[in-house]
Amino acid sequence: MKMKIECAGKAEATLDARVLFARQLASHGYEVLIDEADLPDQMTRNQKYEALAFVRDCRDTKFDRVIVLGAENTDGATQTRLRDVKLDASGEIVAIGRFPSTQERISAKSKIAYASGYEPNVIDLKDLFPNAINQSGTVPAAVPDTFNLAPPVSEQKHLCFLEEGFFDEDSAMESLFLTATASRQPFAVVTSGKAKERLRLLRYSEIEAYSYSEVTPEALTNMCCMASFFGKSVPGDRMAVFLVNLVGRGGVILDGTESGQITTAGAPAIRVPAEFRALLPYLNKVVDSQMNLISKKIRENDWLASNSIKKLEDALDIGRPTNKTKKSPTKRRVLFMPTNGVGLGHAQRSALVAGELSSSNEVAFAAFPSCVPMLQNKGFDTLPLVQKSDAHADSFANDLVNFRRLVNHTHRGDVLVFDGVYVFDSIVRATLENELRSVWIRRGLWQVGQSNATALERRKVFSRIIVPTEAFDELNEIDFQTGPLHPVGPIVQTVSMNSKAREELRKALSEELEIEFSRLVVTMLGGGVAADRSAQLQAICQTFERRDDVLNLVVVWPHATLSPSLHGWRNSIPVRTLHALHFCKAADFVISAAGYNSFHEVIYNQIPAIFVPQMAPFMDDQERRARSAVEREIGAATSAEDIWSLLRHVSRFLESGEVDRISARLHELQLPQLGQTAAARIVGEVVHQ
Amino acid sequence: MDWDPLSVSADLVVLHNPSFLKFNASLDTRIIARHLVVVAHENFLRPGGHEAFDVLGCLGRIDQASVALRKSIAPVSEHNRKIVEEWLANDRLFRHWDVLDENWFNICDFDLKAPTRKPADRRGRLSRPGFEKFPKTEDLDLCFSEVAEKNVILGADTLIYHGIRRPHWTLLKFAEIAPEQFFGMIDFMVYFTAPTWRESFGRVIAEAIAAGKVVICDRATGSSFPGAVLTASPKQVDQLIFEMINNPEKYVKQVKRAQGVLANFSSRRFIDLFSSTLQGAKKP
Repeated sequence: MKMKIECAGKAEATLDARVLFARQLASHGYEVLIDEADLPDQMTRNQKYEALAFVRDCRDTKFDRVIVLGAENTDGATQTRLRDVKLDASGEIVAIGRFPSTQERISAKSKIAYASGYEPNVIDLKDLFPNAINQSGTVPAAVPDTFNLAPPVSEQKHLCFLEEGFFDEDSAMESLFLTATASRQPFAVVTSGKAKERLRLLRYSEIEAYSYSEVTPEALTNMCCMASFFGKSVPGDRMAVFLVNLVGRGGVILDGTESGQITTAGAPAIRVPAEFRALLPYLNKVVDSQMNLISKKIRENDWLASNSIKKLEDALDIGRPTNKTKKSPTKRRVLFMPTNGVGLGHAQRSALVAGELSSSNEVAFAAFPSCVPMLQNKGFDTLPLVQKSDAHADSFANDLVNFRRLVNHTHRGDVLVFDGVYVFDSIVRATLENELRSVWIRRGLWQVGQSNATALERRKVFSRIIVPTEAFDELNEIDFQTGPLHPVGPIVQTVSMNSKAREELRKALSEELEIEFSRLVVTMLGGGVAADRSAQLQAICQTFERRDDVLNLVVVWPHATLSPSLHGWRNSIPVRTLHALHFCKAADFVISAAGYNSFHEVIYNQIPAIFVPQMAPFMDDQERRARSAVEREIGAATSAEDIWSLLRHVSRFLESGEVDRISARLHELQLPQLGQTAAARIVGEVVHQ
Repeated sequence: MDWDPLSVSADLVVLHNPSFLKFNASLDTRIIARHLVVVAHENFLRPGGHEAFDVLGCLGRIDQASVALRKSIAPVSEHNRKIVEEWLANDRLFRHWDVLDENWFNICDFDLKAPTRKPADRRGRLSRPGFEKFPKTEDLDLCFSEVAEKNVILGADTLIYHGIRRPHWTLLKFAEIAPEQFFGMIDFMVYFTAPTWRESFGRVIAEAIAAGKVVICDRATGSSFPGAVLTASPKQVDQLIFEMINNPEKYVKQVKRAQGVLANFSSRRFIDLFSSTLQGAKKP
């Protein structure tokens, strides 16, 4: 049964209704499409994420049903859209509307018939659902028959719907904070985007909040077992659909609307005082103690049958869908999604954790193109993601595609492990819409004054946050705000290389490059993404060029851009490799940036190093990290701008025995246990939760 | 005479088209008559038996506002008559209404123009721009195909507005040129409407016949002008025109026969028809 959703009126004003209804039908297993030709020129970010699943080029598609919502508003533009609609042999156009008179019903029917050439079946929502919650709504809000759903995947919350005006009251925030923290059920607010932003900027940012359009009604339903509504009324079709979904799952509805909109319609809800302050005592005294009874009463309520999806399906004459729900495989999959960042650090770290997971888990990766070869070399199935590009029409266009890929490659209950700083919309949405259990591997060491508000606000969708700590305590912060935090030791790879292997590698390098050397230096100052290091590299190469005993390998990731000026030196050779650590291990010392991975790899692999921190507004505090090494006398550091200082350090490392002193101190250093095993254990716990 | 008077009393009261009341809650003029005639200017039902407007509501408002010894509906064509009879047969509330024996046709007093003796494949259509007046695009493509020398569509506002164009079509907005000028551009009037709507009479067909053109349309639309039009499906249009332009005599014969049929819709005939109804109304 292939269906197309139309809505009378202008494309921009009707898109939300079309997507809302499409999703409602799709969640019941129907194939539903929206014609890309009918999309408005301007769409919001949220609209794009939500519409994408349904948008197709429908020019040559024959439909079983073309459903026209808001048919009472059928106008010339609607008629034009319907002019060349194609129906299957038994196909039908269905016009759904609220018709104030017989004539208006006939007018709508005739207009659609004239334009399309097909006689529509007309459904008046006033007749179909006379007791609907959204009495003036465009979208039918039908109760799904989902009582027998599998147990919920995530922790079940109490969602409280508050109108924007609520936050204008002086004492609103205090009573909200009190209710949020003292409720037995985890508590979250659903409100307008503006109000949510206010909440985030105030001191109450730890109150979990969602905007109406941030999450689909279906995803909201998945995360809660109770909802309360305050203010004038239930805000619009979208929230009405959420409400019927929740009722359909046996959830508890508390009607605190001024008009008693939900209970007046006869829906199975509990009338609570319209004063929000009364909610908490009411929950404690009345609701919490009688949950079983309330659930039983809800299931027995006749209103459910009179507003059921079955009634809508019968009216549309679409039968019952054959595949009601997306089938979940019996085995849960763990999908790692490292962000690309500056280098391959996130992917490296994820691979280390994935490698520690029990072999009984089905592990795969979703990764950006730069990381795919490395992950595939390590033997992981890797779903390629789309890289952000200036050539895209939207800055988030790649994330739209990635979102669909994540949704299509995961199933309810799968575990998504994200390693990165900025939590993409695709991760939030895929987690909520596919009911994934998500884990965030999030290193700390933010720069002073760095804004991570958006990233941190999104922690709400993760069931665990693994924090790979820094090796040195002063670099670790205790963050009381971040809820389910799980600090683990530094997650870095170590390489064991005995002196024989080391000598063999050095000999092989000498033969391959035809360079005699007694000192091997590895320079890895980054791929030029965060900062241009050409001047420093030039100076280093120039210094080594004057000596006959040095081989300097300038190491970058395979996808990094190499400056042409790096070619042509006698004893400085640029190398693109995924195995930088092996060369470092064989080197006398390294000249390195102080990113989390390179810093800790150097320290844990006991390699003397001169650190040249990279600082960019979106990066961690590399200067602090480098300083901590200097203070322990296990490395040298210099700012990138101070080239003379850098060259002095190079000279000391080559001449004065500094390398041996540092090497000895590195061997004596007590370091925390590596964190990959602990991280894998936490992921494993989530898998078997 | 007052406009919108509170009351109208006469031997014969004629209401031209009941659908004028479709957005009104009542008819606020009281009608007292020996004979009330409501002319079914618009078809009550569309193809498939679907109501074209709220007929029950409109006739009901007229019925409630009128006192008459006889209440009748005057169809405008044979096709329109069948629909009126079908509708009345299905509605018990209006059994006291009858259907007049004669059709109150559109008066077609046009000057008759001689047909061309060298017909070419120059096609066109003329109508108001509403969606109901046009078939689906795939049928329009068949009616106005690439093989034609010329395809002129007058009243194509909707097609123009929504970008439904073909390189071999000349699209003109309604009233962009005079009908005479339009008929000067074509030899064949190809007139198909949306399959979900039908002309109650089809005055534009009479206009084309009077202008000396061969008219091709669907069977139901052509039924108001028996013998005066060639009936076909859009698929058959190319072949039909091909045959006609290769047989100019046949073309001329067809136009002359059609123009003869138009005599049935003259003002003289209508005066006779109306007089007889008026006489009937005056009888005690």
